[in-house]
Amino acid sequence: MVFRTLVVALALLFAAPASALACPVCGLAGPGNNGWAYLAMTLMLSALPVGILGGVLFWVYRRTKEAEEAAEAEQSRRASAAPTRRQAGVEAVR
Amino acid sequence: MPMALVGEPPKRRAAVPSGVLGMLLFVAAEVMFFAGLISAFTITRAGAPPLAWSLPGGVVLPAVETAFNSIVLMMSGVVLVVAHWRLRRGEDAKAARALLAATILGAAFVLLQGREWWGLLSRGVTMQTSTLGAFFYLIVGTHALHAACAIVGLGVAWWRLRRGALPAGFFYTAETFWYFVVAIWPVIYFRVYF
Amino acid sequence: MSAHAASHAEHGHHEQGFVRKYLLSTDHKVIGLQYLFTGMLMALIGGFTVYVFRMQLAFPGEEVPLWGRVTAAQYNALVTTHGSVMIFWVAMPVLIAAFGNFLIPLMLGCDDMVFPRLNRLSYQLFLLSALILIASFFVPGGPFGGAWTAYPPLSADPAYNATPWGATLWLIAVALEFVAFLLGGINFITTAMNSRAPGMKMFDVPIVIWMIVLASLVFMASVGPLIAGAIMLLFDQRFGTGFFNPATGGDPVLWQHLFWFFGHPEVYVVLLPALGIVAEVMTTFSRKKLFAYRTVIFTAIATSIISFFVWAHHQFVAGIDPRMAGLFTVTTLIISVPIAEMMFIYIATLYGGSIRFTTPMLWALAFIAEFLIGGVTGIYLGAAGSDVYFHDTYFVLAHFHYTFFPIAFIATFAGLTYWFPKMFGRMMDERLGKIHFWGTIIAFNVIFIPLFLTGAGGDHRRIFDYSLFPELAGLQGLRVLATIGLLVLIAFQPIFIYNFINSMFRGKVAGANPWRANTLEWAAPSPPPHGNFPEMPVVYRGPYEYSVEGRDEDYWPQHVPPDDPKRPAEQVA
Repeated sequence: MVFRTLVVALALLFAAPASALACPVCGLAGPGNNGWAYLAMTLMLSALPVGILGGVLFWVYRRTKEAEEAAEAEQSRRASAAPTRRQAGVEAVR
Repeated sequence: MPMALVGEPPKRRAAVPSGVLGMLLFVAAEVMFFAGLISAFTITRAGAPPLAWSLPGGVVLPAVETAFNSIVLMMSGVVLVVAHWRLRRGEDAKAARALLAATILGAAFVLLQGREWWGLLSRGVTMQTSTLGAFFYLIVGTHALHAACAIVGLGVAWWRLRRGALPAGFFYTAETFWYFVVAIWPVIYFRVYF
Repeated sequence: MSAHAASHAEHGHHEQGFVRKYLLSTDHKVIGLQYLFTGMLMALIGGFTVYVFRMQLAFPGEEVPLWGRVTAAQYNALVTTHGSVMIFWVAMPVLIAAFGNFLIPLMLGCDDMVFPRLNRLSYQLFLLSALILIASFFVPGGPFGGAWTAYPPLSADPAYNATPWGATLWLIAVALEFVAFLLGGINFITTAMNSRAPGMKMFDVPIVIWMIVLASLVFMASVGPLIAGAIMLLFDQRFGTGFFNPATGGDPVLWQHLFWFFGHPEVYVVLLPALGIVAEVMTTFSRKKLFAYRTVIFTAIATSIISFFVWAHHQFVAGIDPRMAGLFTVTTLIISVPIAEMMFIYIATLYGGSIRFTTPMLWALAFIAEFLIGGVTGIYLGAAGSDVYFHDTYFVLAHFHYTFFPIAFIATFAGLTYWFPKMFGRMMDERLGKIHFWGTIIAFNVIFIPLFLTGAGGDHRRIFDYSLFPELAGLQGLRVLATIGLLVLIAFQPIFIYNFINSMFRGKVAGANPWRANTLEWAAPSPPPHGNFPEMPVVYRGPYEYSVEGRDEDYWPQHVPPDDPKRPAEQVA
């Protein structure tokens, strides 16, 4: 039952949207032929930021993680080699 | 691991140079700027009445001549990659030559585009006479402005490299911006000229 | 050289010192305070304009004290100025730029931004944009009268908006301001990536910094199309092009497409920092660890992503494809899920804490309560069907103000009262703070609850004089009530201003850490000197270790080394 309702609703949504135009005045002007362009450009603009920034941030994240792992490996090596230099490390940072 | 954390705090470090990261973020914003222009162009073109979408006096946008200009620009991008490799290998003199070549090719692109504008303007194509013309000048002009700024950056990088005082961060930052200028052009070319 | 000339030269030198220190400074704290004070001054303009046009709506055609009779054209200009000033010159500079500049280097434990000169340029551009906007009050025709959304053809053609110069100056000011925040945003993100204190991992960064960085990312990714549209509109206004003019093959609806692509993410650009401020204040005064720190961050990231997929809900009645309206209804309702989740997390943080009702805490609690009303009423507007009825009524306006007033004022007051000791080294007066709080909150609800009712009753929002609509006459009482609420709200603000200025010079001296809080900015002296920290801090744990078992103190600052190396932070927490 739920499935059938869903099918009917989707069919209505995609088959007969022209009569459901929300703007009563726009009906007078007739449906514009750039509807598809609005839809396509809307999807493009919406998806682009996620793609670009996602890409940049993923790249930065990977490089950060690599650097952190390398530093940790370096640290544990140094910590096991010379545990007495603990205080010296703090001084160096200062 | 916690022991190491206590003993020897990790140093402040940058996984990506600040200049490059800043420029990448700026480029992301710029891509969205051009995406806005392209989307405006596409929507207006799809919605315009057939006769309204043309240049006055039967003038057609010079797609063939611009194809040549585009090749010049692409070559500039390739030569800059060569400059990058040479710089990484420490061959400063060779890198400077490649960098200069990339800069000159880029400047040639802007000048050739300017000549094309001159021809169109002399045939009466202005921003006011048609919406297609307005979009053409807006989008191509914005790109040319970006190209000009990037060329200045590359020129400064070349000057500093020749004097042996080029910080790597400066070069990578200018390089990133030029790749953006080169890479966005084919999108503009195929969208606007056809 | 005569003595006179010498003293003159000395005077000149002194002047330069002042200019260097306060006007040309690259210090992030000075720039943050510059943004803060500029934003507060602009808020006075925004507040004055709303006073004038609300008086006109309540008592149409009568003389407004301090202004005179309001004409229809003046009404348009006042509404436009109120909207654009409050969003672009108050909410943005104070929430992102002021708090971002002041807090990011302090909370990350570094001495300054990564690009300090870019930061100064950002403020100078912002100041220039504010001056251009103020200049537009004095040009022929007066300030822009085409609403803050600037829809063409109203905004494109001086024949319609009657403000030929105001419109152009407005556009230039807005575009400049966006460039300023673009530069600021790049700085914030790069600093947060590259300048964290040693030991501070991504998940040791305080929530408010995460939020400001995410907001900057959203801003940067969304502002491009609007700048493109603004340039096109500028050409239409000044150079006779026809980008938005149907007569020459242009498309006026295109502006809405470009504007709202920025316009809706903008809501989250200001909301996220506000949520961050509230998180900091709440954990400090609940003396309890923030509930689900990582979930807050992932929720904020999800919100940022979804915020790019909701903007067409502003165009439900603009003739968009109904299939698109269906899609955007769904995404709009979905975005309320992460926000609701965040509200629950904040309430869960309060649960079981030992809550201190200081002034900042009251503001933070009020933020949750008031913003919830704004969020819930948004559901009616996000659904395309009900929006057709509510569109452009006072219901939309009341909903909008129930989201933006908590963001731009309640959260800002929470942040200001919380970080005031850090900014100026002195405490604000608690009693005056509480009087101001209750006066503002009660008056705020008195303004906007009646406007929900008038909106549902059919009040269209772009009407200059309702006495021309006899069928809406029954709502006049509610309109007057809202205006009285506004007058009360305005009357309570001088208390804050007095408290702010008086405490700056005569407040009780605050120590480095008056609230006994954990984050790094409290490790610096108050106010922090140039360079922030006497010695650069090292981070050992997350920012919200309050009431940790087995410790005498109920807080555990990030920079304090673990007492016993055998019991490091991870094991205790």
